[in-house]
Amino acid sequence: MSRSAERSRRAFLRAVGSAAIASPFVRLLEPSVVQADGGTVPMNLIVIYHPHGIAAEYWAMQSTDTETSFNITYPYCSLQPLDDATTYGKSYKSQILVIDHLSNLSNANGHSSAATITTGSQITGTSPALPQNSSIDQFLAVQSGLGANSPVTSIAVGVGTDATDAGSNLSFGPGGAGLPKIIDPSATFKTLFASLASASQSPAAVAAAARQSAIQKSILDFSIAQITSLETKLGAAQKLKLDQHLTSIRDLEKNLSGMSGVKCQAPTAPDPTTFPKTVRYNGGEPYFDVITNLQLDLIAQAMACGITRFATCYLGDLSYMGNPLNLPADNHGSVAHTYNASTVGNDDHTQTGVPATQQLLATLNKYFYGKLARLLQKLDSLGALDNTLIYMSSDMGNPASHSTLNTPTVLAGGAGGKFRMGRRLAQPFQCPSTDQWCSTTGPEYDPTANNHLLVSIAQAFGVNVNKFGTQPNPNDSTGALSGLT
Amino acid sequence: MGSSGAPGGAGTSNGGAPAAGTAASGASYLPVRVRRLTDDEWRASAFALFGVNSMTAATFTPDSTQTGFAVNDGQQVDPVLAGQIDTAAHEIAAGAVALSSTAPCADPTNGGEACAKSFIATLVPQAYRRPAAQTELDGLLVVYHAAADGGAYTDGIQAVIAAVLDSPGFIYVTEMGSATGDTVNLTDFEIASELSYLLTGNPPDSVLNSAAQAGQLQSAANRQSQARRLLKTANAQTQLTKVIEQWLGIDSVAQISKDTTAYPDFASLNLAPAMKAEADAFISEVVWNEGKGVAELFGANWTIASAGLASFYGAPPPDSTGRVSLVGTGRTGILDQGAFLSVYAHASESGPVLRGVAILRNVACVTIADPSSLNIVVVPPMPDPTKTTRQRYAVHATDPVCASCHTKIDSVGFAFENFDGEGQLRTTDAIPAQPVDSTTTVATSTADLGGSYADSASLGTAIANSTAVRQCFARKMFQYAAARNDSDTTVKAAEDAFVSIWNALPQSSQNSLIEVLVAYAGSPAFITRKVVP
Repeated sequence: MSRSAERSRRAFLRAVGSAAIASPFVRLLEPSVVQADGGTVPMNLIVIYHPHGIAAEYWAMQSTDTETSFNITYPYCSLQPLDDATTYGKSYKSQILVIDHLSNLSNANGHSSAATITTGSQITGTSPALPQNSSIDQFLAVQSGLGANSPVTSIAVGVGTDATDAGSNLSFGPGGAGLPKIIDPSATFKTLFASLASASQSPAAVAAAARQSAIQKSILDFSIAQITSLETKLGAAQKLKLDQHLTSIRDLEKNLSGMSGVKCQAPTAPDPTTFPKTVRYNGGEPYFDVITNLQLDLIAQAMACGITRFATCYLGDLSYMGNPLNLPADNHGSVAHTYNASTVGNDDHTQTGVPATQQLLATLNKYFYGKLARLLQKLDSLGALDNTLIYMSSDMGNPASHSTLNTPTVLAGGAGGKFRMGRRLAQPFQCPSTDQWCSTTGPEYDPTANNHLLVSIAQAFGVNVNKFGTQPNPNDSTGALSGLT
Repeated sequence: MGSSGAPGGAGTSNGGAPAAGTAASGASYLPVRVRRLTDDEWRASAFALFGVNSMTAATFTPDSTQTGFAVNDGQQVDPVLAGQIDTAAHEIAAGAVALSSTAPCADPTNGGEACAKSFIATLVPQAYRRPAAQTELDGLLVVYHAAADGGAYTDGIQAVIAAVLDSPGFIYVTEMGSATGDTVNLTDFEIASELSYLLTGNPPDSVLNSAAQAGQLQSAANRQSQARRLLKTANAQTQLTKVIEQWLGIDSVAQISKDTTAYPDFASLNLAPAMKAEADAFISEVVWNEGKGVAELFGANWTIASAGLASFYGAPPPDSTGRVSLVGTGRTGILDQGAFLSVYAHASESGPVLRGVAILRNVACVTIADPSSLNIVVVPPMPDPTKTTRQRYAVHATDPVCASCHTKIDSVGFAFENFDGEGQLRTTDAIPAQPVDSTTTVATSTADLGGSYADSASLGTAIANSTAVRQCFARKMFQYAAARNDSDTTVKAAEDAFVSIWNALPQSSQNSLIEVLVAYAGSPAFITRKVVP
């Protein structure tokens, strides 16, 4: 058994749990976890968005830090949870790769720029604002076919908002069409594990489930025949719409049959009484913490079981009276907007800054990186950390100026060994230090676009592209990011 | 370098649309298409068939909007919605077969297939809003057998119902016509669906179906009389009230919140639902009970509000009909109502730019470039409690890059500075308190709204009397009806063609929601589409 296959076997055993191992047919199905992919374990991708940018004062590399020796445990450092064995079982410092000064070139208001994290696209339009190409998860899972062998091709979840415009969403289909995300953990559970629940049932129940699957297949086949027939009568733009429909129906159909190859113990279903409301501005905020934990746990569990390999998660903030961080109730108006940066947080534009405002934002930031640490711990406990790559970012760098330059970039997980982890890298600022206010239209202005990272990620997944995203200057969207591998 | 197929590569751009297509007649027609039912339309259409609701359908993932409208070309069936539709279809199917009235069968044991065939033949034309194709009937019989064989007759019927509600024939409204060629006429059945969903948000009723069956809907006069009939229904009132709210962007009032420190009232007095109810009731009253139009919408000196909201406005309590007089309250028309003022404001302060842009773009159809298209990074003015909002936003006028647009935007938005971020009248702002300044001079180049105004109430009167605003209203109603991406040049040309029709209407009709929609229903553009590759 190759080293990676052995790792996968261990991952599988931990994921299925002891009860499933006792089941006689598990052993037969075990090799399905190691898919026919040259014996290597397929890599998972999770992209996470956190709101409100960062206080770079407590995030960026410190003067004493080097690439491989860096401190993230000083007071207020928002990356501290990633090196906190007391809280998260162990330090995950060796499993992160933090990159300073990447920029999400959305060419739009920071509030409309979350989509650039996953698409590398400029954002166009206002009603709604949208990117112009598909997101990395969809590009890999659907267009490159890497999700085809998993029961669930890809999954998009979120907290608080189910809007699909560029500012509220991470997953986008061809042309930049917003793909809805699931904000109710019960629905996430159903999507990922519903078909699995029957595995431990009686033979009669298994037969009944098989019959239901056959009926359901005939129902979906009826739709597929109609879509195919309609497509022959319509032009390209309409065909794109119907293609998406076809993909969606085929996903449902795959879920019917594909799950039979996965014999994993389903986790306990979320208890909906712990999150009576889910929607932002409609009383959902006090439950965002619970919802965030559930959504990320379910993704981790599904990846450990090989149910899906591609996920995005759009996080919401904790804006409500009495939130556990003791921050002002309005995180947007009273934390992000009041952030008064020093030079490092101000896109390298000289400014004195007010530490108290920076610490408020750093406290909020630390909460979100705590969620990342929690996810790493969960994946680790399920044996799925080594073959998972997490990309976490925000729509802004400095939120007070709504800047989309110098956005936070944290890569985490083993990434299947494709990226060298346990490091910090810093790209140069967008302007040379000798001319901090260089003109955005001048020759000196050269922000490092996150498009390069998206190219690197696609390449890490074995998809041979050298360009990702939609930027007016092809140099911004072409070529992998150096120093990762 | 091996980048073909990567996002952003050649062919992924939405740009480069062909120039406005004009048929030989000189008319501009919209392209053929299929349009996915909105969430509301799906629910209404399923309910019309079986009288059964679904828990899952009640919380479908929300529709994406185009220019504010939920009915649009961008809707698709993505994985999340496909799963939800399928679950809802099964819930409704289970509820429907539990009713003895659904697909009754005297002898299901021996005559199940015959009963199923008859049920399918009745259901499909209703569900698809057109005659069934034989392949569809055959396909559903296969579904019936998949479930009934080895099960019960009702299992088969239940599967058939789920299959129908899941299927494209139900989910899409087609605008494809039946012929081939460069331009096509919609079929009578397509016209019936267009008319019905446009005006009522529901599928065609039996009267409209009969008219389609009889081939009467190619006639403009028949379409217009059907439109007038439908516009009197309760469904039309609900649908078009919603459309006006989407046009003005105030439909989102139920989904906003305010900073609880700055505006404790907003949550504690439950203002958002009260404001939504006010908008609903006011629009209904203006359009249906008063039979009035745009002028009254923007110029009314009354509203219909709850006692709590009336008190929040500093107005007398509602009279026995629910009306509240706004005389002397500083408010005129729908733009001075709580919904508009709080939607277009920030969580802890007013929003002069939001208000100005909303009015210029949506109400006056003045083009305001998107900052990103101008390569401008938006930097919100830093919070400074010692300055009024207006003083902080005044920085726009001093920066020449900003001033080119913001002179226009802010001159409109500042008129509302006597209302705070939750829509309450105020006389002071900042700490220590300074008087608010809502006086403004709108440049003469701003539609036909040029002039000096004391506040938004006097600006509202000018908006109510504006010809430009009336024409903008016609454009917005066309955009709703066309339900397309209005940045497409073909769609723009069709919109301009409709404005020509609107121009020919008597002035009293130009102002009327009902007459504008009836005019569109009667136009050749309503029933003609062009074929695009």
